[in-house]
Amino acid sequence: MSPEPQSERALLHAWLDGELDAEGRARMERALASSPEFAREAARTMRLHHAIALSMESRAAQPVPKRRTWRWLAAASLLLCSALAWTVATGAQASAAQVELVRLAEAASRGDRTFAIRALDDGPPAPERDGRPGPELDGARLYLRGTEQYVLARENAQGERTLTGFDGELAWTVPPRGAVRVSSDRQRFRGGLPGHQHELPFVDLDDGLANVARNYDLTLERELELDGRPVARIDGVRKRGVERGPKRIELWYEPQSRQLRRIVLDRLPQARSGPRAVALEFVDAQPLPADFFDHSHHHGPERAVERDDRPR
Amino acid sequence: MDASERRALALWTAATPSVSAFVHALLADRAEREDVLQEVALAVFESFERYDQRQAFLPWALTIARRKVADALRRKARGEALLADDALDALGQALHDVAEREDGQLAWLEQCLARLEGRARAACKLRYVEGLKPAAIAARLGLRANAASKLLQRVREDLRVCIEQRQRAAERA
Repeated sequence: MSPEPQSERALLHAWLDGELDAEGRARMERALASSPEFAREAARTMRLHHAIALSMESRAAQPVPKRRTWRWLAAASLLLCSALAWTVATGAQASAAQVELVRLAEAASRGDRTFAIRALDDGPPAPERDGRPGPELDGARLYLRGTEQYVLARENAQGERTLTGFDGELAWTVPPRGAVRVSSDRQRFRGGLPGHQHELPFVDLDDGLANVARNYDLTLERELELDGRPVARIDGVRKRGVERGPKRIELWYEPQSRQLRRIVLDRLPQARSGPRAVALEFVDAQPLPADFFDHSHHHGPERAVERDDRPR
Repeated sequence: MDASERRALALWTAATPSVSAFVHALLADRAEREDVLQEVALAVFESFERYDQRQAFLPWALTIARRKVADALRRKARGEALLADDALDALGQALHDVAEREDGQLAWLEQCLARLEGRARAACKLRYVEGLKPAAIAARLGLRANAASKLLQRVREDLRVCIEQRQRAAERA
């Protein structure tokens, strides 16, 4: 007995799963061309198929899903459009480096990453706070989840730790002593982040890389090596007329995964203390504890927690 | 940015879910899809002045996507072919119709996915996260060869029903 022929709907699903033979494909094509209703069914199923893939990929990469997928899709789309629209506005061809920036931003939506920060030169020491040395950027660690959650851990010359972070809803700071402060203003407590004062917030890669695409002349070097691994590098030189931001940036990344391995910010303006050049070196992509980006992970229950939502 | 560029930006942003779905259905490889989608975006922006604004934007963008997918298949020299032209024409029109009527419905998908359990959830993960085809999924889940295909079809159809129910409930509320 020959097998019962598949329904058109089953053919459609088999096609989406890469399992349709030539005969089934021809039947499906005829059905699409002859039945607008079946074509609409196919269109709905294609959109659903794609949306499931995006959502599942995002869930797999994000241990603590916090309003990720749709927001990220919108952000990535806007970044792409923004970079490309700017390019078209100048009459230039979109460069390979700009396209690579979009891919870096997409890759940054996945998983946890840890970076070590080191100063590449000596700058003025961090200003004192309450008579004690301020936290230094050199030797700090930056932990990132997705494109917006972060924890920055810095120590001062006496080894006292200051942590700042954002958990997707609350910005917070845990100083060495005194109350923990939290704010619903996501920009709060970000002064210590490298690049933040210069509108290159590398924890918000969608915004940060869009600014790089607009404000820097970019070149792409593809066949380089870093610590024995093949890498590519985007070099950016700040354009004439752009006043904010480091003079020069380097983004080193793995060409397959688009995982950033090193970020160099050179000739940082010296309005505040700190080094004139810093490097963020990739440490690992080990998953961090689910609550790592919440302030409560970093202090005991005895610490007072105060809201700090006053206008800055 | 002038008015024309702002319009291109707005149209492309609205069209991206449908164009992405179209490219996804035609190309199995994730990295290749990303490459092609970016090529489509570049081509859309670079040729936007040739777009006849009296016509719908999505079919025009899908025409570009078709060309880019065909280029990608040719580059790989895999003997794979696009669907027949009349089938692709019908799909392009249908995506346009569906996007106009049903934009926003897929926002319910997250809630519906969260309700998946057991084999349905496992099959979804194997298909969409690990990129396995039904035969490999069947082997992993201890199913008969065509059972995984049917399971995936049922999962998608159940998700569709769930999304439509939630949409109707939201409209009633």
